[in-house]
Order: sequence, then structure tokens, then C-alpha cells
Amino acid sequence: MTLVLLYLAALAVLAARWLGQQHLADRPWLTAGSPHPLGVPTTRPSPARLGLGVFLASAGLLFALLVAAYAMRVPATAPVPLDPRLLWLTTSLLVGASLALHGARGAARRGREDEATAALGLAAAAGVGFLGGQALAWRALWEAGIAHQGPDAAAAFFCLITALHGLHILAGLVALAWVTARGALLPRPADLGPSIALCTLYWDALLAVWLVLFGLLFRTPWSGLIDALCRPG
Amino acid sequence: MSDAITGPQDGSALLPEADELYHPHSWWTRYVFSQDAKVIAIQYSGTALAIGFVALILSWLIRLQLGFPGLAAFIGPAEYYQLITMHGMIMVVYLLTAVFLGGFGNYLIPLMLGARDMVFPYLNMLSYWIYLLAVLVLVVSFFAPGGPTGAGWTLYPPQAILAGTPGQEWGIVLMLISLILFIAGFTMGGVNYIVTVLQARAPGMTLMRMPLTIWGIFTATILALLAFPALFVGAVMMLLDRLLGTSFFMPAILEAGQRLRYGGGSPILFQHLFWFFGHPEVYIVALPAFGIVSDLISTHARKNIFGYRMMVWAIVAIGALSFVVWAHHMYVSGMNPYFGFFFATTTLIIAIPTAIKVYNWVLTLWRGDIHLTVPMLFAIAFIVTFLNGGLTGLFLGNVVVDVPLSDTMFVVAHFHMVMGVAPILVIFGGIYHWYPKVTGRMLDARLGQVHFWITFIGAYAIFFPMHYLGLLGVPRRYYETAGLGFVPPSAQSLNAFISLVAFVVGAAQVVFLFNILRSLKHGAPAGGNPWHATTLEWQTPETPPPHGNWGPTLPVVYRWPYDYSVPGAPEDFLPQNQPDPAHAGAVP
Ligand code: HEM
Ligand SMILES: [Cu+2]
Repeated sequence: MTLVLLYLAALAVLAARWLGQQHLADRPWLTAGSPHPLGVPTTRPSPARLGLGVFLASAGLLFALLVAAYAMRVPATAPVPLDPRLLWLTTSLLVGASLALHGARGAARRGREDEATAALGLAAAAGVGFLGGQALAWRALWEAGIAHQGPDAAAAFFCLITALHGLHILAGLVALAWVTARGALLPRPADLGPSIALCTLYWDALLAVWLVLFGLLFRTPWSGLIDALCRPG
Repeated sequence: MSDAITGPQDGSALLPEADELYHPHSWWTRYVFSQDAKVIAIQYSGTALAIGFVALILSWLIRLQLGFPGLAAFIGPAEYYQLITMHGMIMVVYLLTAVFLGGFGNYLIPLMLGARDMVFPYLNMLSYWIYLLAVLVLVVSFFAPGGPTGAGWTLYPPQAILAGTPGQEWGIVLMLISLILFIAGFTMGGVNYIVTVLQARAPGMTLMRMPLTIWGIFTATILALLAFPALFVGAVMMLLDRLLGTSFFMPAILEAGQRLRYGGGSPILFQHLFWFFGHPEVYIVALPAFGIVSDLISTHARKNIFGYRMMVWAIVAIGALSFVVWAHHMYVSGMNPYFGFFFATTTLIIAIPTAIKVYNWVLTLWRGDIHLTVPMLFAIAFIVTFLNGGLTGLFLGNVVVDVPLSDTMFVVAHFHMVMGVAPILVIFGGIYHWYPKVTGRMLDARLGQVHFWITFIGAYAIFFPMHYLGLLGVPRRYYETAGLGFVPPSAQSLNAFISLVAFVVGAAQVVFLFNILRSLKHGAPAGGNPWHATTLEWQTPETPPPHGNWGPTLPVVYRWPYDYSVPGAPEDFLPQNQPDPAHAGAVP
């Protein structure tokens, strides 16, 4: 629960900072005409980026709640019965996808669209690899027959959490495929920059979520921090 | 003012001009698969009201059983549980949430803010169709083998998925799937509303010039985007418990002498998830109602809203606080008493911004030029009803008072006053108010008065006595109370009376339906601004507003939305897009 409250508090801080710039103390009944300069702020995000940000804020809470539920339901001493090395592999693939996307973004910014398309393809491949690895993990649990049987909640939680995360990854892959196809097929310049930036934001967010989930479900160097955040006492 | 804005170029007009806007080409894309927020709003409201009428009929059947036990042979205990479950869930989620955000939100956000449409029209369309799918799945559950779920609208496990509960086979599964769909569809709409409010306002429309309706809808949307994930998680986990036999919520349990293969799950975990959604949900419904009522009162009392800034701050404060009170629904769940203390405190703190709003409404009415139009009647009725329900909320917020009242008819009376009747009154008021803009014709005022008085007085006759029943200890969710020693026979006469009134009030809604349909053709022509209102939706060049809303140029906003009874103004009010009374007529 602490994690959920911290997450909400972080959103509240963001909202408060933003509200602080909105002249909430104006007396609108006194000022007709133009109360203060109304020029478009130059740093304003595109609607798509803002929309994605809002969506991610909502999806992030979904995962924070799953973490809280896990902490409430599964004792810290009951880890997921899986070899963590497989998960380290998938984790590095997901990191690779994010790095490739950052590369693509840089390339697009420099106007090297072929390079960007290639990096996008690489990111998509890494994403597919990540999902493949997760699927292996699900199969291992399923065959051991523990994911869906009775009281072993750690394995069930593992499947639930990774499946929901995997669905988001799948959506990210569809978007990546679409942008990559555009990069490969459209005549130059295809102006991929904005779409790549959106993909990068999305994949970075999913990576961050995954790192928290990984630290919760397995013993990692940062698990202590996550336990401290979601298992008070 | 000399620095008044002169045109869209120096403002923040984000949306493309008319020629860049998506254009529907056929009847299908214009009226069915439309991406126009106004059409989507009508689709949302129509669907929600239709399923709401189903829920109204269910409530008749509930009252039939409570008032005249055994009279209807087809209502056994199982059917009774199915009735109350579906009634509650439909009303809260599929009617109220959908009408306020999908209906009023879609219609009013672009128009009141001076935008051409929502920022992501395609997503907006998708949002409606997924909502419709969710409703259809819900309807299908009525016809599934075993019928709809009878788990109570709170769907508490373990009983929600155990064999003794009606609808255990299909009903609960379809219910959960429907909720998941609803949430997915809502999320698409919600992202849209937020981005539109943040980025598509007409030039000059600062946040502090937004009508309170928009503040309410905007804040409620944020709450919904942060509350629905909890319901989503709960629904998915329960679905897995039911279908795959996991034990997220299910403890070790015996069923008919057999030990089920569940074990170790936590039913309390579900309650936390449900109410983490459930309490914000009540404000998801209440905040848009607050906003709409503020605008109705101001317009029909020809007075500026009292304490606009405080009203805005109160909406934001209530929204924030509503996330830290959820466990007041769980005082009797056996949680740590210190939690109870904490949650009672936060619960009572919410009453402060809420009370501020009530005072400000009353002060807005004070010495106003009150026109008792039908929307105004509904708005005033809302204030009274909401106040009543809020006061009983204060009772229930205190742990010691709540414990004996929990799960009695007192709670039913509380939440029907505050979340059932009050927001419905606002929906009616809003429809009487905006119908002329939507259709170009007025609703018949005489029929409206009949509808209002029967509904308002009737609602009190129904729900006020329930407080007494609750104080007597009459439990809620009981198929029958005969034979309970502590329930006096007089409770039964009261129940019969309540049921009779409920039948009348339900039937009176036909008057409303008739009025809506008849006025489409035969209503008096409304003109563009029948209520002489200031907000932008009344200043559109055409009524009903065409696709794109504003003709060639976007409106420019020069003032706040509450300039009523302005001394020296030609017409007693100044629309938001009017520069200065002196320059009247120079509006672009
Ligand atoms: C000052 C304001 C309020 C306070 C202090 C308050 C307090 C409470 C408390 C303590 C309960 C739990 C009663 C029990 O189960 O024993 C409750 C139930 C409920 N309240 Fe409120 N409330 C307030 C306002 C509202 C508003 C504005 C709404 C809706 C718009 C609302 C809707 C509900 C509903 C739906 C339930 C019953 C849920 C159920 O058990 O099925 N309340 N309220
Ligand atoms: Cu509550």
C-alpha cells in the first residue's frame, strides 16, 4: 500500500506543480479581456504525447496496485518457483529494446532515417524476444502445475502480473511494427521523429514497471528497496 | 481592456480549422460510426438511459418483494439477489458514470471550451463502441444459464464465486468481463477528455474561466482514471479465481462438506481493491453533478456563482481527499482499529469542502432573480437532497455510529439520497437545460413540472422512511424480514407504502420519456440561447451546432462564465465571447 500511496503522492505533486502555474488565485470576475499573456507555451507536449502520458499514469497505478496486492497476499519468504536466470535474460532484452529505441530516436533526429528504421526493427526483435522468454517461464510454471493450483499465490501472481505487463508489451510491439513499416515503406523524409519519441516513452515506462515487478517477484539487488516500499514492518 | 485578444492567432487554438477536420461522408459515419463528440454524447446517453430503465424496472421488482412479500411467485431468494445486484451495478457504473462522463462530458467539453471536437475523435468513437459492448455483455448475462450474478453490487468474494450464489456459472463471469470492457472503453474516453481540456481550449479560455461543469467533469475524469485500475485488478483476479482456480481472494473453504481446492486467499484484499475504486467512484458521479448544478443555479438565478475560486478549489480538494477514505466502507471488516480512526478522520475532513460548496450554492441563490424553470427546480432539489445524504454520511463516517448501522436500511437510505437521487436529479436538470441546444427545441415545461414534482416528492417518500427502518435495525439485502423478532410489524406497513410510491415514481418517468420524444418534433423552437446563458455552447452560430461547432473561426473568450445581471449591459448578461459591453457587436 505504501507504494500506491507514494505513487499517488508523486502524481499529486506533479498536479500541484502544474496547478501552481495556472493562476488559480485569479479573480476571474475582475478581469475582462486578457488577464495574462496567452501565447502558446513553446515547451508544451504534443496532444499525442500528453495523451500517452495520461494513459501511462493510469496504467502505472494498475501495476502499483498489483504490487500492493502481491505484498498483502504473498509472504516475503515465498519466492516464485522459477530459475531467475531466465528472467535476467528477458530483462536484458527489454533493456536492449529501450536502448535501441533511444538509438533510433537519435538517428531520426540526425535525419538518418534508414538507421532509425533498422534500430526500430532491432527494438521490435528484442521485444519479441522478451515476450518469448516470458512465455517460457509461464510454460515452466504451467507444467509444474503450480500456477493455477490452490494456495501457491506467488506463481499465480507471477503469471497474472507478467501477463498484464506482456499485454502492454504486445500493444507496444504493434505500435513499433507500424512505425517500422512506415519507416521502411514511406518515401524520405518520412518524419519518423514524433512517432519514435512516443514509442520510446512507452517502452521506457514499461521497462521501469518491469524492473519494479522483477525486483518484487525475485531477489535482485534492488529488491530490498521494493520490499521496504511495499511491505511495511 | 486594451490588450484584449483580437483573434485566434495569439491564443492557444490548437485544433485545426474546419477544412482539416475529419469529415463524415456517409449516413453511417455521420450518425452511427460517428467521430463527432456530440453524436457520441447522444449515443452514450441514449444507451445509458436505456439500460437505466432496465435497472428501474429491476427496482420495481425489488420493491414488489419487499413491500408485498411472496406476492410475485417468480421472485425467490436467488432472484431477489440477482435483482439487487444488477440494479446497483447498472445504476452506478453503466448509467451514472456513463451519462456524466460519456454523455455530458462529450457534449459539453468541446462546446463549453470553444473547441471543434475532442482531440482524438477516433479513440472517442471506439470508447463508445466498447462501452456498448460492455452493456451488451451485461445484458447477455440475464439470459445466460443460471441468470445474472447475485453477488451484490460489491461482488465480495468468497461468496461471489461460490456455488450457493446465483449466477455462479455464467453470471459472475460475464459481469466481470463486462466491467473489464467498460474500464477499457472508459480509459480511451478519459484520456481524450483530459487532453482536450488541457490543450484544446479556445483562445482566452484560461482554467479559471472554465465553467464549473467542466471543472467537475475534468476532475472526475482524473479520479476515474486513477480509480478504475483498482476495479480492473480486482475483476481480473476474481475472474482467474473463478475460471482457473487460483486463490487470490479465496481462503480455504468447505462447500457442501467438500473442501474446495482454494486456500490462503484474502477476501479483505478484494474489499480494499473494490473500495479503493468504490469511494472515488461516488465522487466520479458527484463532481460532475456539483459542476452542472453550479451552472444551472447561476444561469437560472441570473447571478454570478458565489465564491467561484472556492468552488474550484473545493472540487480539487474533494477529488484528492477521496483517495484516502476508502476504508470507511470496511469498518466492520475487522481491520485494525487505528485504521478506522484514520479513515474516520479523513472521511469527516471531506465534509468541509463539501459543506463549502453547499453554502456557496445557497449564497448564489440568496437574493437572486430566481426563475423556477424546470432545470432550476431540479437543481434546487439536488441541493436539498445532497445535503440530506451528506448529513447521514457524517453519521456513518464515525466508527461507533456506523457499526450498528452497517448493513441496515440506513446505509441504503444514505447512498440513495446522496448518490442515487441527487445525481439523477442533476441528470434530469441537465437534460431539461441542454436539450434545446441538442435538438433546437424546448422540452414541454408543464410536463417537466409534473415529472419534477412526482420524482422529487416521491423520492423523499421512498428514501426518507428508510432511515427509520435502518434505525430499527432492519437489515439490507434480506429477501424477507418476517420472523425477525426485532423487526416490528409496522416496518412491513412502511415497506408497503414505500413500494407503492416507488411504482408511481417509476411510472412517472414515462412522462419524461414521452416529453423527450414528443418535443423532438413538436417542441417550441428554442433559438440559439433560450436561457440567456453566458457559456460558449449557447453562442454557437447554429443550433443544433453542426459538425465542427463554430463555423469558420473559433470563438475568443474575454471573460469568466458568470457575468449575469451586469449593470448597464444591454441584456443583463455578457456571453464569454463578448469583448466589452461598450464594444458589443464587435464579436468576431
Ligand atoms: C460527507 C460525505 C460522506 C460521508 C461522510 C459518507 C460516509 C459513508 C460511509 C461511512 C459509508 C459506509 C456505510 C456502511 O456501509 O456502513 C457510506 C456508504 C456509501 N456512500 Fe457515503 N458518505 C459521504 C458522501 C457520499 C457521496 C457524495 C456519495 C455518492 C455520490 C456516497 C455514496 C455512498 C454509497 C454508494 C455507499 C454504500 C456502498 C455500499 O455499501 O453498497 N456517499 N458513506
Ligand atoms: Cu465512501
